[in-house]
Amino acid sequence: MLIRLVNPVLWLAVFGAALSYKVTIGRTPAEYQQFILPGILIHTVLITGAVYGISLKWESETGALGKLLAAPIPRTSVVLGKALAAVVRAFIQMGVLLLTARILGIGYSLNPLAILLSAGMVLVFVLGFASLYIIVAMISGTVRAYTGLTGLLQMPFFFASNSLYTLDGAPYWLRVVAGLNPVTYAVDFVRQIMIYNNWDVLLLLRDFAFVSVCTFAGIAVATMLFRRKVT
Amino acid sequence: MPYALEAAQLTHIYNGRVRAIDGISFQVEDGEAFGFLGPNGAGKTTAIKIFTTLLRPTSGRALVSGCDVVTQSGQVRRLIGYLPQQLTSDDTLTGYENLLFFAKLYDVPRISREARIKEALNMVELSERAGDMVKEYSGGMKRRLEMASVLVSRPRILFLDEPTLGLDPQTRSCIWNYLGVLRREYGVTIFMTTHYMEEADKVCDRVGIINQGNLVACDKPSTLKNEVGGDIIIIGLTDPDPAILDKVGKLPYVVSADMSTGSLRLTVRNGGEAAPLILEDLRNAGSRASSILIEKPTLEDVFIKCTGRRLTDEVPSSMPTKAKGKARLASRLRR
Repeated sequence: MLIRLVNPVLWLAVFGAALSYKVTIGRTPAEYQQFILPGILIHTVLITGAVYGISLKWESETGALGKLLAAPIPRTSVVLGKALAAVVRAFIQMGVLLLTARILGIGYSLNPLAILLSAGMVLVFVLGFASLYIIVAMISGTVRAYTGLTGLLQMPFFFASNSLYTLDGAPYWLRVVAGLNPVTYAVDFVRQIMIYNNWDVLLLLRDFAFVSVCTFAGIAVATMLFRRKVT
Repeated sequence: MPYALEAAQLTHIYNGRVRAIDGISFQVEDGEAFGFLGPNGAGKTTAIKIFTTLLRPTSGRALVSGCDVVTQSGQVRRLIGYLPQQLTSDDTLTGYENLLFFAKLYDVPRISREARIKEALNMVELSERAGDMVKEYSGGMKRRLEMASVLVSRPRILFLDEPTLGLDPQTRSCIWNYLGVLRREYGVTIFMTTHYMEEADKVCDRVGIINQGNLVACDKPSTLKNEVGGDIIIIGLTDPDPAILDKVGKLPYVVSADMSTGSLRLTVRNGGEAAPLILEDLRNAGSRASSILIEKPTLEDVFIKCTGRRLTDEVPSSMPTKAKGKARLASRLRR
């Protein structure tokens, strides 16, 4: 897990610093690093969930899953268990990332409400993506197919969003795709309250609602698929 | 009182093509130890998966204590325990923690947890190693830990898929002992699958011989062995000639003769008396024996009698995995 934490730090410290002189977001380099912080956070927690899909695949191949499925626990708790594990891990990573950002001198709001709400957004977001990973795990034949598929999906979610740049002036197709991408809304939510201290309720509600709907749909589909696969 | 287990015309077809089990019907009484004996690919694991609600049968019914596995699967799961073929303890936890997890999984009341875990560890003699990580356990220890978990959850009916596969003789003995304890002291009904005849013979009250999805015989091991009709004489011939089979089959003291395994297998009423006679008769018929073996019938003989094949011959008829597909291809090419 420690190794995995290096990645976001690199994005922030190196990429952020390097690009800030070329990109005209904000007047100072520090402002660009602040700008991308929410994006890096969301991207980091997005990637985190992937390992739980692998563990699901692995367990189904070794019979450990069979043992759980034959136990008198509700079937969906197997799926939920994995999703919540992903959330816990995501929270830890969020904590470490924020701490690192502090150390690097990147400023963000220390308003406890802002942090709490951001954590709430991370929770809903990660639950949604954990469901996606579980869906992919169920449709993949092997662990290799799974890692291939998830790797393929992760990058577009990151780049077709407002994580690294604003989208005004972006080509039409990109704006459409980003508009459908829950990452865009999650990032916006965190960015507004943590970086810009902007508490526009309607905007925040819109962001939260979009991600919630996606998550809800994800959980529904994952549960349905899981139930169908297993009597 | 419903049967502990009941199958009625149970059938399962994979992918619309592979008939893993074909119209199987049988009952298991409460407290009985019942085994499915058959080679790999016979449909044993499929049957277990259906009873443990992991697989929905294509047709037919399967009942556990009167509950239907399809419509009342939640209730079924509350009554059963399941030990799959592979070792599935969590490597990253200690033995104790694994058992605690099981206790929680099966809703063992908090007050009883500690006592049950202790008792379970005692039975399988893992008390000293309970605090060690499971990844440091040997294969036999891991299996014993799994048996302990059964004692913690105390199901009414326990399903075991090849419980002693790949284990050393001592551990196998231990496992058989534990199963005996579970039955006698806790009244657990046992359903197991195996391809080891001595395991079926030793552990099970009744054995179901299963081959290519069909239940070809089902009775007490002693009854099945008696039905073989006598002792077995196995003769290796210097040059096996199928014509010999006809001649030998007509001899008065021969109950049945078989050559499907390569050697000449004769069922006779008394092996000791028949042996010198058969050697004489073979020489007169122009054939010569290179080796001779006299045996009391075993369950494998029962299997050969019912199916014409040995227990160890693998027939890739069910569960089409990639490996079996390759084996199928390889055996086709060999012919």
